[in-house]
Amino acid sequence: MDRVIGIDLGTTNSCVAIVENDTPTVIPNRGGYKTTPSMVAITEAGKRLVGHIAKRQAITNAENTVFAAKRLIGRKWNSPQVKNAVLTSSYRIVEGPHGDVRVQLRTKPYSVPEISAMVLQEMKTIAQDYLGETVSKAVVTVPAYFNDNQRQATKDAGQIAGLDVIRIINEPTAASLAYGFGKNIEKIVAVYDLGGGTFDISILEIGGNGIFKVLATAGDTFLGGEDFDARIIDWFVQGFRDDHGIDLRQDRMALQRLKDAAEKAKCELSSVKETEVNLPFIISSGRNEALHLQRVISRQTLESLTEDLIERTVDICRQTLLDAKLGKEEVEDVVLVGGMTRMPRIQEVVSEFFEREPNRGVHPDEVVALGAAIQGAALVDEKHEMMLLDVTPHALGIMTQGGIFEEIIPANTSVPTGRSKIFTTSRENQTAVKILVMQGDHERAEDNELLGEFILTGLRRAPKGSVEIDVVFEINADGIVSVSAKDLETGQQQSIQVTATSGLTPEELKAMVAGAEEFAVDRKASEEVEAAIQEAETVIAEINRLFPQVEQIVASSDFGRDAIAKARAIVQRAKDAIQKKDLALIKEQTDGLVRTQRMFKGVVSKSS
Amino acid sequence: MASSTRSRTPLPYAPDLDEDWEAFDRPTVIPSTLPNEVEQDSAVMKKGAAAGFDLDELELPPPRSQFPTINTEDPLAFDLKSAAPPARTESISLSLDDVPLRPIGGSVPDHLASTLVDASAPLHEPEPDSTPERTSPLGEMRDRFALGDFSGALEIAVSLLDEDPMNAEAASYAETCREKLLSMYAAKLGSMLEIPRVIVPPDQVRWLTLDHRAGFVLSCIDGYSSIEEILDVSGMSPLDALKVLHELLQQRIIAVT
Repeated sequence: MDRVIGIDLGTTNSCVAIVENDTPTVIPNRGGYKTTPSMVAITEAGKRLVGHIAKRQAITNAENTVFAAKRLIGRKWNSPQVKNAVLTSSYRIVEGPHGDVRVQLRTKPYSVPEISAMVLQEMKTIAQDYLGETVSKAVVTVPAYFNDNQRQATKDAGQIAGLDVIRIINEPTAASLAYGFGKNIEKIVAVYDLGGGTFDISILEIGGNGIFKVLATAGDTFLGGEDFDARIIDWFVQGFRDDHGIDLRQDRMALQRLKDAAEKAKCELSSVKETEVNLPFIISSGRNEALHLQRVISRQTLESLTEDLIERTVDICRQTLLDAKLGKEEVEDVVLVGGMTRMPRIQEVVSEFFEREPNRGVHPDEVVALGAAIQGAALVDEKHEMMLLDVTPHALGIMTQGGIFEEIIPANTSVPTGRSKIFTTSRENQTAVKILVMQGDHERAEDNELLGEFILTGLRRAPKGSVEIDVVFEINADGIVSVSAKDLETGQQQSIQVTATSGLTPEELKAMVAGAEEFAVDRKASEEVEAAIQEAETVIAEINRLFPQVEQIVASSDFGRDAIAKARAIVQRAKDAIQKKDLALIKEQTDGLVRTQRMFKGVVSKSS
Repeated sequence: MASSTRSRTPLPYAPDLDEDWEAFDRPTVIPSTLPNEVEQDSAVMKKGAAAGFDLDELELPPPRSQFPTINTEDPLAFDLKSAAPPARTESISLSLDDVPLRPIGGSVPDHLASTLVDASAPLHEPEPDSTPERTSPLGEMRDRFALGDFSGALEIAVSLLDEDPMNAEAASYAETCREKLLSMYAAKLGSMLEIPRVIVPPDQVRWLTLDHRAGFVLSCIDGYSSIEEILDVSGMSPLDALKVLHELLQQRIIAVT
């Protein structure tokens, strides 16, 4: 049976989990961290960096480091979110060949699914290293507000990364799954998710039949832990300017160190009342003298610096409950998601607002990935009873007179499904009607996503309102939407099939999959070379350690002088092979090294 | 008297990559009238060696002010035999542009050795080819390269390229110098997979003499990241980052395990 991993592909951090022996477990990365920054960078030398290492150089190599690619995935070039990102991003966002979005890194433009694929590939590798086997199936989470194109783009990213994304599920749903794991619960829960870059609040109704209905969801895609870090950085920068008259923001290296230190201090202040930030040689003064930054920051200071950010999350919660026409008392539990919810002040504010203590039974960084893993296990293993149903994330409908969106399939309808509605003409003697197929939850059609359009012609000339047109929406099990419009009197019919698209053509996707496979092969080869080098260097170090003893023994004997020269030659040849990074040669020379080491050990042990 | 064998190893257009760079590892701050002064350097080294100094001890360049200067127009301006051995500097100031390097292993490449041997020859004797080319930046670049001063040669090559980006010879020298310096620093640091550690106690770090770039690289050394990873995150060119790491190693601020 194939193992299915669950991946929380976050805006700032990603996490991978699996169900092992009926227990959902988060898989740590090579550095031992359970989350990996969703960052990708290309170095000056053209090397690809993903995760923590990309984050550590994010400011010093800002133009070639992509973060928060999730804000762009599946969006069109002319969307307001992309326009905003173009203005605010440190990396270059350019228009793709199909009105989609590309990110220019060094000399190459990358599609957003390609960037996300690099992160997914990293998560896949983490899982494979842990499990010791190839992983090819995954459940990936997305925000509840993602439309079909964004979901499809996420699936494409998985495909590029060599993963068959067998299900895309909503993040709050995944969190609720993990929260309800092993319990048979039916209740309304609020999922308060404050991550590194985004804030989401979702109200879900957990049903006993595997239906997790998102009653309401809202958020701010530009509010998260990074804004808290920025406030701390501002505070340090201002303090340093007051002390030395120097703006640390002018120096990228200083800013990189400050960013790392601010994030560390923020995390520490969740458990201690104050912490010291000590950054020696942070910048050079005009007098060729290096200056140090050393300052204590308290939890109270952090809270006062970020009070308005926390208040913004509460305002969104308030509005969401209003939209869902729900009272606070109807929310039976509050699940905290995202690293920022460890901040004591946030926990206080959430419990004050919902008038109940938030649930502390789930790990805020891991809960979404765990939920995805639970769903993945359920999909391939029949003994797992928990089965999520695929639902439409947003309503589907058409635009009607006055630019009003007319809903035909409501949000959260389980698929496959089909619904129809009868419309009439809006003008006298109207002979054609344009059907604009849209997805979204806004009353105004222009606020929703246009999926496709077609024209039904040949209508009989008649007074307005007298020609009846039956519009039918159908969604099959693969999520493909078919829309047809039929003149009920004449039987004249037109239809369209809408398939969600990430903005990539099948040919482009195929080429990207091939490119990613090639990269994976190269990376594996490079890792093999590194492992061989390490092995050879360990033996060389041991031989070098034994050399003086062996030379001493040989010096007092008539034998073995040639052996010393030969051993030196073997070590030199091995060093040359290491320099060339030739795997076969390194392995060959390592054999010689091992024999030499064995011989040296024998000489030393016999003489002692 | 032996004729001057100021060994200007004929340098082909493309510099030879097979030279023993370790032996050429020379101070990088060299006066602009390099060829003569280097000759002077060699003379001083020779004199030092005659006085019982080991070549290996000559690990730091004496201050420039203590080098006698040569007026090439006045052949009698400087008498080497009366020159006192240079005073030695006591400390190293870590700066990116002034890397004190010492000859490794005491071996001296043939052409440099010949300058040592022949230092008793009149230094002021003009070279047959000491035409404008020698004092031109191009000639100086070649000389520095020949003497193993790859940093100095690179500096000149870069300034030549600033003036004329199409200068193919300067581009070739720059590339080769970078390669040489990269492999030189890399070899001194060991494998790129090695993990450097800070060996100065944290409370003493601030009392070191570092600039902010060295401070930044030092902050990247966390005891887990390999040299390769540090290069990746440093935001500097690999050459600059390796140079800083090498300096930190020489200063015994870090150790490579």
